[in-house]
Amino acid sequence: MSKKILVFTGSRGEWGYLRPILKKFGDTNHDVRLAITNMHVDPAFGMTESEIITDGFQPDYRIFMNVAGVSETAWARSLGLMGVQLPNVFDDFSPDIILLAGDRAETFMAAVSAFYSNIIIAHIQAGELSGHKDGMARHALGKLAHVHFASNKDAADRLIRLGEEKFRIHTTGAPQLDNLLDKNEISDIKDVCSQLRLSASDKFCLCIVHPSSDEKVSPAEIAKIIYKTLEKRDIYQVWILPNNDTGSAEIVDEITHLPKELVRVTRNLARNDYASLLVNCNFIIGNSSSGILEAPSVGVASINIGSRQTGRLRSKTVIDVPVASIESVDSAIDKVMSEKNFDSDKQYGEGDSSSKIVNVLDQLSIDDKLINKFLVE
Amino acid sequence: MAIIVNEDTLLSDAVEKMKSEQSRLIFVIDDEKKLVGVISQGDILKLPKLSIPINACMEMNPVYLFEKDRNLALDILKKYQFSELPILSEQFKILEVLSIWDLA
Repeated sequence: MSKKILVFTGSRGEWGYLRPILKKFGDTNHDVRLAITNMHVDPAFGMTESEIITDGFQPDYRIFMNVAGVSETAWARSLGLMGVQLPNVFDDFSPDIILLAGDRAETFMAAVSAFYSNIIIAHIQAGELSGHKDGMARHALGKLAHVHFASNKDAADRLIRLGEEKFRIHTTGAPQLDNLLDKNEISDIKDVCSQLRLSASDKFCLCIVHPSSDEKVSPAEIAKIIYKTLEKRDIYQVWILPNNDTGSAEIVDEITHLPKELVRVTRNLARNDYASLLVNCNFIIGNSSSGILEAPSVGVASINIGSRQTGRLRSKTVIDVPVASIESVDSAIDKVMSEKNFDSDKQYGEGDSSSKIVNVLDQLSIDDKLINKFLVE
Repeated sequence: MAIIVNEDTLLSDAVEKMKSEQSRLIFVIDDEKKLVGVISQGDILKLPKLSIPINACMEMNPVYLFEKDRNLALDILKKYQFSELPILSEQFKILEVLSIWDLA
């Protein structure tokens, strides 16, 4: 049966999850609309809407949510503004289902709005562990979601332990891996390198540091340590600026002021270009989930610094540096640079997650059993 | 004349300078006068609004040469099809901006 499905995204990261699914929806008879917010529509964060349009999709609803300021209270106020506006979209479109992904605050706020508007919530990447505010937002969202798409058994088991009913949980893998494992979805590395003023034969690593609130060494300091440790090695550093959560300004400031000899910086990167950089880099370093979820599946080593990804299921190709220092990061880099090739590790999916998710939504019966949630104790 | 502005400059103010100086590139420096970015007339035309600081929209991988490599300037300008190229000290400070007209 045809369903009305609202797809919601506020950041580049989730767009990577949702894009392969939206493509698959093209082969179905569902009425699918796209609502975008936060960084996608904010010029201060690269207006990543252009990336969505380049990918061949036209957003149906644009929700501007960011009030001025970078404080915690400004962010809370912005989230409120999102929660206020999303019900207007519900009134206009009357969706049966809202499709959400990940653990971001605006996504949690979207779940709150949808739950009290009696809209079925389907949540991708449910049940995983992530840094404390993000992690709590993910599990709080799990309490409201009617359908959970877990990326692996570890996450599915956690959802059960957290009291979710088994019939709601579908282990589908992580859909953002689908395009990494599809050669047609990866840009030519020559083109991507030329945008960054590199040649395709240059050795480079990917550096991504996001805000993280419970660190012994601040994320901005982590960025500086990564730069300083890599500076003496003959390898380019391709830095990708972080999301706009509280704490991002200090990191952006640090990265912007790195001497540009071995450093390249990019503010927003199309997903296919990112895939190309990831597949072709020597290693990835920082605290991005890409280092845990994506790099191992394409056989790329990663160095994960700090506590942002604590507890997430990880491959043995991930080297953890719990507390950043020049010495600890240096020894991790020695380790990844001495390894040759890693076998890919597909514990987060085989490249068919988006098909599985669309299949579940196709078959989903919207009935009282699905609508009324109970905690299993 | 090359346009060099501080990174906190509002893009709209930088554009005014661009109009009066008739230059197509704006070089962006930080408080320590180090080169941190560049923005071209073409980049600016693609932006939806001008009321943002220049460091939120600049290209962050500027092309430059260190003083010791300045003999490569013409080749670099041709390669990237730019009209101006900053020459930097080893501390990344702009010493001079070469114009293709000075070199051709």
